[in-house]
Amino acid sequence: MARYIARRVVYMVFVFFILSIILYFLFNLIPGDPVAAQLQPLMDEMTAEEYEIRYNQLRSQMGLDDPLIVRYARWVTGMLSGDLGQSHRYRRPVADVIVTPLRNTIFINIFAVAIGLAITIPLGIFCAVKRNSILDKIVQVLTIIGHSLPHFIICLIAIYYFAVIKGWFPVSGMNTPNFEGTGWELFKDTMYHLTLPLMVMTAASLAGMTRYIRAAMSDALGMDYIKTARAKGLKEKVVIFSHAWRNALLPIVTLIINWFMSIFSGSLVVERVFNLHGMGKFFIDSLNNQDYNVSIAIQMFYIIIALVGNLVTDLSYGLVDPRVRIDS
Amino acid sequence: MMKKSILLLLVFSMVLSAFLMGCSPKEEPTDTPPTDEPGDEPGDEVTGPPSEPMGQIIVGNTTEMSGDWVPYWQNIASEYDIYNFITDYPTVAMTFDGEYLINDTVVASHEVIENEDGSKTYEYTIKDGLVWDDGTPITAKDYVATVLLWSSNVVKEMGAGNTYGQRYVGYKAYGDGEAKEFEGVRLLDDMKFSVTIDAAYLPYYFELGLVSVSPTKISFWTDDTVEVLDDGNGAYFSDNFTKENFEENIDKARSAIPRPSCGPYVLKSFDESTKTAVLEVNDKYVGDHNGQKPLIKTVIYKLVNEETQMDELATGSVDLLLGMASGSEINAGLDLVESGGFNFTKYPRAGYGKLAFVGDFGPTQFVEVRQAIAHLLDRNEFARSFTEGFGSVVNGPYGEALWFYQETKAELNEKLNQYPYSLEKAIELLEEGGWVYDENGNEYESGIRYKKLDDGTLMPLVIQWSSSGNEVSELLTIQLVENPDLAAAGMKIEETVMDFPELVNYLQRNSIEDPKYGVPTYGMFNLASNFNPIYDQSNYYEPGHPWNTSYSTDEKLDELAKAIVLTDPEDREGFKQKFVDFIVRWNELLPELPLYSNIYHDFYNDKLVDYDMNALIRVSDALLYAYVTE
Repeated sequence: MARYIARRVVYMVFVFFILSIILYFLFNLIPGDPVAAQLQPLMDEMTAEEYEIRYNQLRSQMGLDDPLIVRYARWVTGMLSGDLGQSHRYRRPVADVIVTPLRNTIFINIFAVAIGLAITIPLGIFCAVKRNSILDKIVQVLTIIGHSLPHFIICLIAIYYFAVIKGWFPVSGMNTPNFEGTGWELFKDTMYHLTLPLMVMTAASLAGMTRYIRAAMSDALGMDYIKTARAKGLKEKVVIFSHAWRNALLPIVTLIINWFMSIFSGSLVVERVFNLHGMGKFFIDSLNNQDYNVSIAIQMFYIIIALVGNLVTDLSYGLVDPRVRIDS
Repeated sequence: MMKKSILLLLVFSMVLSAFLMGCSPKEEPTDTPPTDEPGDEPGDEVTGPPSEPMGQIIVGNTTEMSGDWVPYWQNIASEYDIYNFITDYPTVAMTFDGEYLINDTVVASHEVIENEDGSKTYEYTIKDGLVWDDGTPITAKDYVATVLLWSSNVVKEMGAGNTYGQRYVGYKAYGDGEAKEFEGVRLLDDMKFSVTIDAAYLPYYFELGLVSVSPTKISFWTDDTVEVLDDGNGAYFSDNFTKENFEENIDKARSAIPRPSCGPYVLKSFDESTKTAVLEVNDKYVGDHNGQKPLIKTVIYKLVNEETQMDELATGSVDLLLGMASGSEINAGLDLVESGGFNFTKYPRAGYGKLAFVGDFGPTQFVEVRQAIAHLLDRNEFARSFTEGFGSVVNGPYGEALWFYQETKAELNEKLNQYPYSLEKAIELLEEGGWVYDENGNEYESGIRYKKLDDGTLMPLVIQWSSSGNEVSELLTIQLVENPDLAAAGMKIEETVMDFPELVNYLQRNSIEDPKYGVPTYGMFNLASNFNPIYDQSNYYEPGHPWNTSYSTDEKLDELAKAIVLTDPEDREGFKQKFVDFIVRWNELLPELPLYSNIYHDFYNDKLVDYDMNALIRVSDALLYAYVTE
């Protein structure tokens, strides 16, 4: 087991470095001049001569005059020592500016994932057990609709109905502006603001997972060992939860672990529409602002999450299914 | 066991859902604690401006704030608004019409001294009794500190603009760090200081705009050990003011809260999670140039997005939305106004969307081609389509809100070519311009026109257009590029869609970024221009100047552009005449083709009263005179 993990970690480090090279070079291919973008606000106030001096000075300060390979070496060395560079837009270290959106995203996604799993697992099992019943058919239709509708449409419909027509929730934001109250009141206020985005995130994610669990459970319930279990006279609930569900878990476990890993990645559409300062919105904003130190740091973070996620998934197979020997 | 787990899961799911729903307050959450002030209680009708600041306004803005509260490193519009709410007491103020005057609220007396070397000194004595929000007095040192700090080499090396005193004597030596003293800035006594405009920049019509200085509390940016001194050769900071000593302090001060305020409001908080800034009234503020003090107690800046901002207004999440420009937004806003409870203020934009031509390359270097394009685009229809009726067409580089345009409007209307839609006129112009050949050098009959250049080669009338693929580009494609009359005139426009930074690289011929950008490739770009009350076009048409992105080579146009501001401030009529002369020449040469100028609409909850806005002032100015009735 330990040898397997060590081998996988070495492999992850290798993949991480290869991807870091590819990403760094790709980001440098993006057209646009970050120096000119930074000087743009000051342009009208400077003479041509001053502009040129400042331009060259800033280029040199940002290390853009060095060959690409030198810049890469500097960047990767910095990254390994925890220095992700400076955000050109915020003029603060990337490691500092990334904290708030990451915290927000994790906070929101913990609830989204918890609610999602709490609904989809029982619902998927129920639909598989009551396959082709009226309720199953209703769920299938609803999940198809949920799966087909783009997220932003669900967001806008939810805002229109629940915020504009009914007035139950605010249109956007994470807190009431200038809110004054205790920590608990602030938490309640945050949850009040997050209810609508969480509803949308849950609704949008229900379809895929529910259908996946239903399919996996249906397959499992059709297996011979289920017939054997039933023939043995086991109670139906024992058959479903002890025999079918454990076997159905194997294909689902990847999906569930990916869900947990998605706690770190923001939802671009939901965050943008509801003005939540999370990772998805932050990433797109950094690309639009040509703040590539931030963009590439987020990308590298996601790569780490994906690699760790893969490892955890593989390890979990061994836990879920004793037949899988992870060190073989 | 498994049964229990599933049951637990279901129960957890229901409890969590119920909890989330339960978090929804039955009533609107209170934003501020209740106060005993008159007029704050529901039902208290206020029939006129309140005697004390009261209530709050939530301003929705679509530009995300980064938390940098000074405009020397960036120019994010919403942060500049915040800066203006907390920074005031300038020696020279601007009126709502964009005219400059000495600020009597701040200046006890002033003297203008014409020096022998042609420079001009403004000597100010500051009024006693002005204080920062913490009660510490504002003195001449605070005014001098502003010029010294924001012209210094220290902030320049930190990547900030250090051009505050760029028109003053001795700026270059001080700004480059070569001189300790700033010769053109003097600290004369505790309440008296002066600034001297370099003779090279005089006369200058907007001279007063050059000598407007606001105070800075230097101890906030550095520490108590940095002093503002003057030994007679110019003001300077004590020797300990170095980048090494204060880089960290300065960096922190940019986003620090609390921070000193000399404006009508104090920045109370900024929530980075929600990108919301809260401003509370500064009770030590003595007023703007009219002595006007704020009447609204709390101003909140809240981030909204374009798609749902009108819903935010409708549901009371925000009270004021600024500068709505698109037809769909405005129509939605007007529907809201019609439904009751809301109001709006409209004003013309001080700028326009345009087609910018390149004047030194390809077919667009010839004025007849530029004029022909103008005749082949129905600009009235274009403006109507793009702005959905909430815009107009301008015929020169001005904004309709500018006072000198307003005062010369009649004359300009008479003199300016409107370039009405006309295929015949376009063909006539092209023929006059020598576009009379076909690809073989024979007389033109059909297809693409060619012009014989001085070296005998033939240039096709094919214009390369760099576009960023936005809504304007899409409309231009339909109304100009795919217009059958364009082909009938013998012209072709080829569009290349690219992202905006790349477009800018081509426009600015940024060969440092990539040598390909240094090669003139595109003959036209669709962009936008905005003008501020200091209408200075001096650099934009100078051949070879990097700001001359229309690559105009016309020396007369450059001469006329420079002449406008080279006017004595007292010579109002002369200034207007020079403005007209420049506009007329510009209109003839058409380095750009203005496409539309929006009519901006600000929508607001009708609890906001006396809100008067225009494109020249900031929202901080408009809200200073407004009040809320709730």
